[in-house]
Amino acid sequence: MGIQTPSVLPGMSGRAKSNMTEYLVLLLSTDWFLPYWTEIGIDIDEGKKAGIQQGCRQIIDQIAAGDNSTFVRSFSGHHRQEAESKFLTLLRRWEAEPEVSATFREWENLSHRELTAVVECATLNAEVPSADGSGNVPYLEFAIRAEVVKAWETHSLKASVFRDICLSSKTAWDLRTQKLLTSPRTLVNQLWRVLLDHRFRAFWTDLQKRLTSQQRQELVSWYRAMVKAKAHDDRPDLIPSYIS
Amino acid sequence: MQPALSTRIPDGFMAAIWLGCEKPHQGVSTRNQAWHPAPSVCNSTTALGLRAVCVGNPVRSFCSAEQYDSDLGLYYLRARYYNPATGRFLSRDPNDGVPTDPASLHKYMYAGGDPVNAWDPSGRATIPFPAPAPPATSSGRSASEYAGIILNISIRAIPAVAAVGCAANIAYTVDALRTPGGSTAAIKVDLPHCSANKDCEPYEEAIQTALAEVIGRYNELLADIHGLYGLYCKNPNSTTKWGSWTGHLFAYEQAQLDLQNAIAEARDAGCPIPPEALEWESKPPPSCPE
Repeated sequence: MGIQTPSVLPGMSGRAKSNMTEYLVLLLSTDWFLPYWTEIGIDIDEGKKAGIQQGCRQIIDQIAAGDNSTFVRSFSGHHRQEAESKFLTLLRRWEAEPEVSATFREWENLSHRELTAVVECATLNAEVPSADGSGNVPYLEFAIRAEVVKAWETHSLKASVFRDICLSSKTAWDLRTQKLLTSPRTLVNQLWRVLLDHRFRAFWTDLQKRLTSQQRQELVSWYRAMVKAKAHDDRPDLIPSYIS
Repeated sequence: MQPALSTRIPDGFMAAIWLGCEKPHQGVSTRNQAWHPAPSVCNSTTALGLRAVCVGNPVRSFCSAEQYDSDLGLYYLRARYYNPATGRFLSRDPNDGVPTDPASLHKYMYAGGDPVNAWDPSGRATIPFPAPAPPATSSGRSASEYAGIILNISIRAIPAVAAVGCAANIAYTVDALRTPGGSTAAIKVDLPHCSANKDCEPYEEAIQTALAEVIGRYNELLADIHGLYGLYCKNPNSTTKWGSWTGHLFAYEQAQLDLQNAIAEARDAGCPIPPEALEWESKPPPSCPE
């Protein structure tokens, strides 16, 4: 009997809401990420950027209420709704809703589980070449293997993306944000997962041109078999929703 | 799960494997053999009586599959026996050597003293590996097209097909690596994590730190020191202290995403991943108590 995987995580009623918008607010508040907003789809003039950045800092100050050590616990639950509400107000104040709303909606709909699934399957792509039936890796038809490897070469993303930029920033605000989460890397790690999700979606779109529907289904089945072997349990939740 | 890194080698082929590894080899596979985790690779004999030969020093060494004589504790390299303990041949080189190449004049030295860049399959002559060039394959693709992780592959005119791996994520299909001529291929692979000065220790430390955080957060949930866990499970719609409880979950998720990244960074670097870490990176929070 494996680990019970509830459809909704304990503590999460209804739709599996995540804290992704809080991460977005934190990210937009930092100095180190300011030049890279376009990487997450926000193309906006510098004046608005500066205003939104400062507004995000005020939201975080209000949520944390000066107690940084408990930020992890306080920046959740009802505070999440409060943060989202304040952030939308901020966007309206700066007339930035058109430029930011798509990113906001994307992050709002992401979840820890979905991003974990993306990490799992992206990781499994590295094992596709060895799925030739000669070892313990379940067999995958050669044509599928070849196309997956080729497509993933184009879309793969290193896990260290933005890491050094984030960790080398010594501004007072950036150092503070690093202390708000579990580790100094948590925020940039979350960014990596979101960017990896972008890449994996592009990879899957690419595969839709390269592979037949049946071949893609075989690939999904292979992902599931690999996940099952690793987790010692059937874990459909570890397959990204948009491919399963 | 231990990734399988074995590779099918066509019948009738000899296998030769070189690993330019900084650390003791984490694995090597030959004819239909399963992946051997370190350090057993250097002590394992394949079904064909081949045994991994490891020569060199702890900083730079390599493995090739050669016939092992268990009675003598030596490897038979056709013209001479090779002693892995000393890294030398037992008998003199039957060839005279080349005056312009001092290393070739040495009567007991293996591969001119440079086993990473050359080999001596006959026991008679050092043969350098040619300059790296991705080989064309039977399907017309280069090997690197199939596995970008393989940096440096060269084909030699010897009757061998090789499979190689130096970390848990390295593998490729031999089918894709056959030469157009059909039968003669040996592969030398310089993997980024195997090159000199590459150190997996920071990656291992990062994984262990993140793993400890995940397990700690998980146990904190289980311990339910604030009584929130039981409260939530009995009253899923309750908002009493709901924020605090979700904060615990939030922290667990953060620890997990840090672990996922630590694992991915290690994988990018070709460093080994502890199976325990793989288990915890996606483990759901504990289910509701009875």
